[in-house]
Amino acid sequence: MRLSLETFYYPGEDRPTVQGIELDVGAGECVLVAGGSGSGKSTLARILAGVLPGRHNGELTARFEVAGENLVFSGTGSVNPRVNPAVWNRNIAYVGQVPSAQLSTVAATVAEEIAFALENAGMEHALMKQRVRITASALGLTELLERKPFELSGGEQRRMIIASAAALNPATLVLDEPMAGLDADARRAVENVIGSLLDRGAGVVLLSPELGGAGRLAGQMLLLDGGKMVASGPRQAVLTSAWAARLPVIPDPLDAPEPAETMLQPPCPAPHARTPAAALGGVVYRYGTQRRRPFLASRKRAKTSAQAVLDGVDLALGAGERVAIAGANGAGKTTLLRHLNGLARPESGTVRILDRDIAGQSVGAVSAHVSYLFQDPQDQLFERTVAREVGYGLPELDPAAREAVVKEALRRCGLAELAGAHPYELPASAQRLVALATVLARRPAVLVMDEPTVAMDRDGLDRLADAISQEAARGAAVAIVTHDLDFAYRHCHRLVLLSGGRIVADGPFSRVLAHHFAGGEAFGVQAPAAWLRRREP
Amino acid sequence: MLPDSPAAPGGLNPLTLLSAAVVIAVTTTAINSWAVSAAVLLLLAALLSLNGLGRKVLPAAAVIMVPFWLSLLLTHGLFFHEGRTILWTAGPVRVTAEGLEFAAGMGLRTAVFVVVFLAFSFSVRPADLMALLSKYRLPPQLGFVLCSTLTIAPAVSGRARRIAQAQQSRGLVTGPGAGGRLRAVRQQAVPLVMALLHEAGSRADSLEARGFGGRGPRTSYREVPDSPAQRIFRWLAVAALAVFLALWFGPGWFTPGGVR
Repeated sequence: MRLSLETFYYPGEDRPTVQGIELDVGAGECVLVAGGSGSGKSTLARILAGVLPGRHNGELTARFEVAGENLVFSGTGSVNPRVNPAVWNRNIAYVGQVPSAQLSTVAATVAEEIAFALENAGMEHALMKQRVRITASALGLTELLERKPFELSGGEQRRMIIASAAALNPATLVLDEPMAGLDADARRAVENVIGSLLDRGAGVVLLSPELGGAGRLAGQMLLLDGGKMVASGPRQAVLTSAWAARLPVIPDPLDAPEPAETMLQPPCPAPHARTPAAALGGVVYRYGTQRRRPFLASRKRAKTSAQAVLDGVDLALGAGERVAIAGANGAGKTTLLRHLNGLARPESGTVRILDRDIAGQSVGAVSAHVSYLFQDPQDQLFERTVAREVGYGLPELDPAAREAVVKEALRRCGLAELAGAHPYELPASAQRLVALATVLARRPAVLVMDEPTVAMDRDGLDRLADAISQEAARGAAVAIVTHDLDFAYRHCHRLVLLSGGRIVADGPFSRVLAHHFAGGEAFGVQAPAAWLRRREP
Repeated sequence: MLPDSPAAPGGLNPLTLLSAAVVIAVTTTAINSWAVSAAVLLLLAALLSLNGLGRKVLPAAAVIMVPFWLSLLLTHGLFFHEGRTILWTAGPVRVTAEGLEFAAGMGLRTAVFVVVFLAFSFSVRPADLMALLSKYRLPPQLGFVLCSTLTIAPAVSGRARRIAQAQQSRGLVTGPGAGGRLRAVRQQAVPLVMALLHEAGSRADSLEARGFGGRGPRTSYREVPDSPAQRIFRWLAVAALAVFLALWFGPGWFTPGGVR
């Protein structure tokens, strides 16, 4: 597949969103397209997917060479080739950033969701069954085949959508941030699938701000900045240009020059150091026990879901602490966080915030002390402009004071320019920053964040790191759930490991690493590369 | 976000369900007797409660039927000019036995219709419907639209729940009672509509990117449950319905309205 793209304009825009891109993906070749937030990666991915210009009426001037055919888009509209999605998809399959947005909604099981693209290609039934089985096994989804697609965790859904695209055996597979939110096992499974597609002669295009991870599979690399290609060539050669151009891409912890850093000091004593800001005591939680209704069907369901998601969790978060909570996909991390602001209620056990039991308190009341950053920013954002979004629900009644608070939160997140923008129109990284601004504006005593690093570029990660340290210094207890232990290692001082709904390790970061990560990996979590390197003699 | 899959009677083909629904609805309408309609309604309610569908179907049917019944009562129960047997009168209002019987007949007949088709839509699995349409080579877009009508209510309520959670997480306290609920709904309406529009757009893109809506035949992974017994049932049901209608409305020795 070869793309020679002159310009692409979204309708009504007078500047092209992407321009001057030459992409050549040979058989068995992996190309990494790296760039920060707003660099045009996702637009490029959607052009490759055949979605743009399509119904969006954008103007594309480009030449594609796909499966021996030449397709010329000349930007004017009427003479452009029409894309038949079912055929395009077999040549260039695409997996976007947000897995839940890609569910077909008509598949009753994971197997059917994986088969969705095969059905659209008109594949014969027996062959389809075989493809689904093989792809699911390669991506570790065999156990989940009969589950409902929308019940899976974010990481599992991502693997499922990747499986659906990979099952087609496409000539080229385009993956937009495929590793976001995946645990160590899932990352390996995705890397293996990419590897086997490459072995079979498929081309793979990875789009990501991350230079490491799956990016290491790439031989070629292309750097985007402001919609333009600023460098391209063999990966190693381009890595240096990325530094030279000071692009907000995320360095590969394995080959980036690591500045000599010292382990974080314990946080300075805070006013409430003796009493924990938040504490879970013996929390047990399982699905289906919260909304029991006196009818036959629901009672039956409550009985059958015996597996506890949280199974006797004790956790205290002290004021000023920075705590990372890690574990495999489905270990119960998000459920644990949701208990801290009352979105989930324990079947047994207690949740105390600032030494008061929150049983019986509404989520809205608990939010006076606890701010929650959702895993998916689209679950968090609902207002018409960024400024309104950040200002929503602030306790300040005086408009001037409120405006000052909003302004300050936007400044901290680098969003001052975007105050009037619609949150949904922003790139994923900026959406995450808007969500971050909404929680910072509330100056909570307890700040909990679910996978805050996902889809962030380096600029976003820096702002997130600043926010974590400033909030902790102010005296807030900060807890983040994350798979990115490299980030957590640099910015948290305590590590809690969760497995099967139980806390299996809890303590100072380096001590937990030393106890459990001698093999480089434990409980589905990969040890930070920086720590592994330091450990080497 | 997405619906619970319905508590479907396992292994039933959507066409079997549909033919049963059509037979019940059409015969009850044709017979047009409040007593028969009431008996069918009771039987349906008992059946649905037994397999757990009653919890979903009956409240939904009540939402549709109660206002309809009230309007019937007002128009026919109180002002039925053809009525002769006057039970009570006050000014222009004349409650007649015939009026009440007409309102009851019409109300119950419509209720059977509503309950039957709600039960059908709650028990058919969208995936089965989609697979069935693929099997008969009908346009997949049609299948998707049909399925979306079945899944839209749970999808909307899922999105509304997440918006409510986001708002509560930022300080929205929903008060108790109807007033509190109303305030919460007012706060959620605009974000809900915007989120749904946005979601529909991005879903359309990703469906297209996964090859949906292409020209050319579509196959189905899912095998729609079916059996020879079900096929026989469907043919018998349709044939019996045709014979019944011919006898009931046709000229001849079978007296229509015998039950009336």
